[in-house]
Amino acid sequence: MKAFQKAFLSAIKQQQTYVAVLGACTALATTYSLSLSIAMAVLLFFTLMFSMPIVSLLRKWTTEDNKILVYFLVSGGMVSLLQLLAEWFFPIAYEGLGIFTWLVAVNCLLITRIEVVAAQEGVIPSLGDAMGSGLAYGFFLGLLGLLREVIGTGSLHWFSWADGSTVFQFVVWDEALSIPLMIQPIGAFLMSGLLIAFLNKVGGFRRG
Amino acid sequence: MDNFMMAFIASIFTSNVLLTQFLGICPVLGVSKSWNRVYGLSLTAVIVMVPSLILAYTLETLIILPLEITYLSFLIHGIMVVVLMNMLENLLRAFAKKLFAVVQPFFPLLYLNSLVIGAILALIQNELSFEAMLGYALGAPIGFAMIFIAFSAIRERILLHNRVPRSFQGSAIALLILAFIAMAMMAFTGLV
Repeated sequence: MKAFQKAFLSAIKQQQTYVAVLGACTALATTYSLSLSIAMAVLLFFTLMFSMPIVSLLRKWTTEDNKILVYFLVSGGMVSLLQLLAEWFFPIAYEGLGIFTWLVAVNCLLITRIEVVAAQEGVIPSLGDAMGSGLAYGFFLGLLGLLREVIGTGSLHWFSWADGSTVFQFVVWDEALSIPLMIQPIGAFLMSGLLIAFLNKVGGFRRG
Repeated sequence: MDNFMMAFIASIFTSNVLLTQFLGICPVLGVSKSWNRVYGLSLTAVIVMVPSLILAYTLETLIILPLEITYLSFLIHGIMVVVLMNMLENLLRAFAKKLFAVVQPFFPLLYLNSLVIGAILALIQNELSFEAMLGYALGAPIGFAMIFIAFSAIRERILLHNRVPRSFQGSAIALLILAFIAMAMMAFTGLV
């Protein structure tokens, strides 16, 4: 239990510096809506939780030559499985995420955590690290999605992942006052840059 | 997007893989510190992406779609990319020693990366014709290299002056530079 806790806390601490750079492709592409960014965070969380212990169990048989194939088969297999489940249970979220459902398997965050932690340590520390990294990534994604959606559309619209019906809608300001650029790809770069600078400032001048 | 030229121009200017789909953004943010590395990574991207996109299209139309195994398509393409890159590495080592010395450090970066696999998935999803696929396969890596080189040149200049506020240093200023490049590229909207 202690090993789990230690790995969990160190993963969360390290996130502050690198969450911005690693895993950026899936983070930037899906955060135009809060609902979708949480769906992406959940998908990445489960992929981390399932694939890191497996890689950790296989570490005795992983050599320098076959490691890339092993990592890809484990993470790609997990994502294929989760993708089939998502298509069945949450078709709207699956459609919204598009090709980024698969790109979770080659996400830089996932690959780095696998290579740095799971390939070297036991099952319990890698589970702790998976949970810490997944939660910290989810927190960043949620924050980015919230800001982009509110500034870009003027309201917060949470839709159900299963059938697309509105769960709640919360108007912050009138749509005429919103900046539509924020929900476009440019808004992703702009908002994440500003958000990282803000987190750096709050977190005590950490450089990413 | 149904002929060669249109797909080529669209994949460079209007639907750039880096700026509209964020593919391969991790190596871009991580590598762009010195000119040699930027040049090497761009060259590697072109060398790897052109054959793998063409091969992926062939696999998809000749094997995966007729056999109706689309649920395996991601795993098949991923393994194909790993095998192909290994083969390219060995071929370059044997026949083009000078080129190999330039691109060799960047092969491990692209093995498990969203750039190659993401471009393949985007290609398959768009259901292009063969001609348009060739345009995309050539245009996507060139578009990536173009933005990457421009971005790292701007970043190097900014680092040189060292006037960036402390909390913006590192990835924050890099993302803002990308935002401004993306805004400039918006001028090409409606070109194709």
